[in-house]
Amino acid sequence: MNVLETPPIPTLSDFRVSTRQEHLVQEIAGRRRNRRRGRLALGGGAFVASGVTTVLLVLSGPATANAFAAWTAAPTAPAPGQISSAEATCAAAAATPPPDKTAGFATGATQVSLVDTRGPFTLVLFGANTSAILMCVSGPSINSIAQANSQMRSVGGQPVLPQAGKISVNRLQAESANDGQAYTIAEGSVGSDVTAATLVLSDSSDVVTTIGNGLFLAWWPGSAVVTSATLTTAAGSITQPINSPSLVTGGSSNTVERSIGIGQ
Amino acid sequence: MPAFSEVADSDLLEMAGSEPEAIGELFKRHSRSVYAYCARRTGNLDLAEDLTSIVFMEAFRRRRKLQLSSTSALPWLFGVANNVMRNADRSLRRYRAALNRIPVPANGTSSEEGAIERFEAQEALARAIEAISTLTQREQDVVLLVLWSELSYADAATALGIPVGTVRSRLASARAKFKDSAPVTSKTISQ
Repeated sequence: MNVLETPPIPTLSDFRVSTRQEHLVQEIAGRRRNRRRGRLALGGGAFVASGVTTVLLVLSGPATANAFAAWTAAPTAPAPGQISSAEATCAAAAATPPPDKTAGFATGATQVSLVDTRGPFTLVLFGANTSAILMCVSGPSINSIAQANSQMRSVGGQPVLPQAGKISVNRLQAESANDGQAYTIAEGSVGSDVTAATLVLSDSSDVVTTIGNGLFLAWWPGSAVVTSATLTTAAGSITQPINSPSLVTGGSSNTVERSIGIGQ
Repeated sequence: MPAFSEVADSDLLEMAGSEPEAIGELFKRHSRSVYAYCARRTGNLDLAEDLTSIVFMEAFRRRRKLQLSSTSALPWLFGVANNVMRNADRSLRRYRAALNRIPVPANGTSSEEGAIERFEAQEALARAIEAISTLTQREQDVVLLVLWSELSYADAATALGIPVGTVRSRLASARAKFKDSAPVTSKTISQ
């Protein structure tokens, strides 16, 4: 070999380039938003003398948005130990639910089926394809001040298995963080040939799902429901309209039996 | 307004301040070249991918210092990449949170064929980097840019912030050290 010969480098796939490209644009857009917030807050401070209403408006905006500030519309690579920590915390809670639990809580569903990470938030799905499944969310904005860092719900029921190239949204779960902000979890199944799925919500935003083992997971701040999904298969991309299942709230008595605030 | 695909590199960087998609277009144009450069310089394909993202975030941060010697921003991006890799630990620390937000590609799992290609490339890289390790760092820089990345002498000079004559002399020095083992390539003759 010529000593100075150019060593070959495998070409980055179009998919990897577009993933990184989208991430870059989001990061740059995020910095612009943060800068604008900073300027707005500074401006609000300058107007203290001219009116209290202005100051309150400026200060309350960022505070509200910060609850899920680190949330991302697409799954992210987990930080070291993030998944194992979340799984351990959730599994422990599943094994030892509080003594006041209602009957039927799925204490045995400790087999992890799928994990979705978005920034510091971790959503763990236990016991899929069993008679009762559990979903457990961990993250800073779901913490209470007293280090409570998880909420777990038993959601019950068997998933519906979709056809090839299709997605089935089995559950939409309405939740609220410790500061009262709403968020929504979607869980379901995808055809075996689906390699990526992006949910389109009723507020026109997109959320990229985590896919694995024929399942998908996603969640987002707010109470928007799913209106359609863009699915990627080897044959290309297709859009499938979704009739979202009824949004299940934390107070529902049919599928949601109770919630556990771990460590509270 | 023209589509981003029709906009010159320098204008894309200027537009990126108000339109983040412009930097996305720049990434689309040059990310593979930057990635290959980072990979050949670090010898690590995975690290090179993260460094590529950092290079473009740094490029955005430094866009007001942009000085293009040609219509392409690639030489300047290679210069940014040099700085990023020179301080790789600091760069990775600085952008760790942003890198953690990169989605895990759903189809990122390599096929067996892809994994083999990657493994072989990694080994070839290690051999190549070992081979040029006898050169000084400055000679390695011009080998990486002129021979391995196929930049012109002028563009390599831009990337390194040195005169064109210095690029020539360093490359000549590098070639002299391999005179016995490295036949002159058509690439080096043409320049």
